[in-house]
Amino acid sequence: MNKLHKIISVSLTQKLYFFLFLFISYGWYKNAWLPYSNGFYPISHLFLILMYPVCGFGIGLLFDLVFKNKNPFNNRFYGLLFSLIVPISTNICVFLVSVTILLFLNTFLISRKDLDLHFIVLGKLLLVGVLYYLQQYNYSNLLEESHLFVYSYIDGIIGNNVSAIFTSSVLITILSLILLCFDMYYKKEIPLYSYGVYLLTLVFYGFWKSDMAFILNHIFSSTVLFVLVFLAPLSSFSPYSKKRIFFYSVLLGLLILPFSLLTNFFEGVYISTLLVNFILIFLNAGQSRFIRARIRQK
Amino acid sequence: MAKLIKLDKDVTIQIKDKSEEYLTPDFVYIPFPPKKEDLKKEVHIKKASMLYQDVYSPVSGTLKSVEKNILSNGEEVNCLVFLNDFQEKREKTYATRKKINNLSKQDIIEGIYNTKIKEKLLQDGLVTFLISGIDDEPYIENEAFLQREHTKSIADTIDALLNVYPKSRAYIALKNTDNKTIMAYQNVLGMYKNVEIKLVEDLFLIGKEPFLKKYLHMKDHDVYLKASEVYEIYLNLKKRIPILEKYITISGNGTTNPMVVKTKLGVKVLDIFKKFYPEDLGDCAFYANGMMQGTVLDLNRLIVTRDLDGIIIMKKVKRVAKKCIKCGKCISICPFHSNPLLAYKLGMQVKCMHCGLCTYICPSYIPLYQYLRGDKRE
Repeated sequence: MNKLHKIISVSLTQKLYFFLFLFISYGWYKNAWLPYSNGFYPISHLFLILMYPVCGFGIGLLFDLVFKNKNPFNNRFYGLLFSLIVPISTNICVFLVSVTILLFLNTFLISRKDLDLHFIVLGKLLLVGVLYYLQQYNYSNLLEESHLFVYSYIDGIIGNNVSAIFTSSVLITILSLILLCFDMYYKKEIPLYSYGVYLLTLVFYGFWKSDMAFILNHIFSSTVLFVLVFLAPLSSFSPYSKKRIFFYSVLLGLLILPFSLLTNFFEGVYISTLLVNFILIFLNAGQSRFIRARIRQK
Repeated sequence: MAKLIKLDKDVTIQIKDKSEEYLTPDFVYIPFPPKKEDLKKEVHIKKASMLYQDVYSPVSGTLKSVEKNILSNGEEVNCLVFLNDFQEKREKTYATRKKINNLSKQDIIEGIYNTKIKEKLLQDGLVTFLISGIDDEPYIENEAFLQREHTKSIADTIDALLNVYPKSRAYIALKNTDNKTIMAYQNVLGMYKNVEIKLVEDLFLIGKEPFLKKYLHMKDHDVYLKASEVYEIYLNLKKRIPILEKYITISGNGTTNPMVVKTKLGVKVLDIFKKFYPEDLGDCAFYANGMMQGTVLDLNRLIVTRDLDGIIIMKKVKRVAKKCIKCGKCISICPFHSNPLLAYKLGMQVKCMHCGLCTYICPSYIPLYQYLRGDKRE
């Protein structure tokens, strides 16, 4: 086994953990180190911000140990993934409660009943609702809120843009996508097709409104890219047949822009993912019912 | 049809260069015929006498008892147990033909014992013969050994067939990694015009008729024969006997001595193992007909039939099947694009050739082949 083969044979979950670690590192730099070095946060914030992924992973691990979950996509992975997409303004207690509820839901309902419900996306949207209600809805850190500077276009691509707590780096997302495309178990068609369709709708809308800046501002939206690369293709919540993957991806790509315009670019992609996920659930349920009826008839 | 893939193989498993022989068994076991009325109640049998359609006695001897044994597909069958008298007596002995390339089409068709092969050769006009010398299953090399040891006989038979089908051609398909067989043919084929070697990639299932024809851009009506079938025709025509012996491969990482054994049909696999593997093989799994398309079976009752290609002995690895992660790889790799998950989750019967690719590719180690065969439900 040569070195290249060893890298290729690393499992998909191990690769995903590695990329999530890169996101956490960059998010820590952007949301903790930079504001701290500019005097916006006390030193404790450098550790506090890491509590989100540590707690997400820890609670997941606890669930996995107690309920003996040995599946590759387990609660600790989902807990960690969820901790990356919460807004920075999320209170740690609210986060802990929401992670526990979500993993509880996963263990006792989604996993047991084999539902395809994308509970991470659902959880994120519910959390946003709660934050909105508590008037804590905010994606910017104190440095960004201070309006002492304006992010340039290059900043946005590198990762200095307003986004969820650990998902701001577009470069890491693109790099992850390129490397994940070599993994045979990664559904690369979903991010590629849906991003392609999203780009088309964006360009079409930009030309229609004669607003080239709009296209440039959202072409590399870190939130959209992160959801398309890491959340939408998660195998447990996405289709597995070729036709359905195509349908799922195209529909997802088509819905991102309308929902982003209706709400905002932080939540639009989550709403469209959840909507497409619901359609998938109905399709699967319909197919299962039809097949069961046919088997019974025989 | 799906794109075929190359399987990862353990390169340390190397089969011995020369085949071994086990042609003098004490007992042979002949499965009961599918129709009860075909069962002959003879106590004494002679070698090569027809027991029922396409089944001939591999030895001469006497009927001793009836015993339950298992076939390579796991089916339990009643078998007639014959005690070998080692006299090899035949009912009627025919002289070996000196030449077979001067036979007429009628002589050839009449001379062939196997009805399936006979039907394939009943075509008229221009015929293209596709001879597959490929072993699909990893670690099984029956076809390769047979071709290396009987290259001239196979080439003679192809030549005889081409003589009765004017303007016909024959292609021998070999894997481009099978150097020894390629060399064996190269030493012989110069004398035979209209016979060509076609090299194909080392892909799983490439030796199967539809895939090989598609790979070589051949037509559906072209005649497909396995090298072992060509050799069977040779025995039928030249020596005027049906096929009574067979090559089987015994290999895998559970043995240090992988080999190909030439044995009589109807022999118990356990008897072969007693001769060649007297030592304890330890905690191993025995796959009849290979790891991909075969089944784990109890060796004690398994008998050699025409369908048995080999026994793969693999060290047991503890792998617990996990929950399906819905990656869909089993669907995309399936040669028919069938959905094995429908069999796994809903118990639905799907189109399946039991190639084992879905189980091979599954990252959750779900034994999908068991669900597809209907042996298991989720």
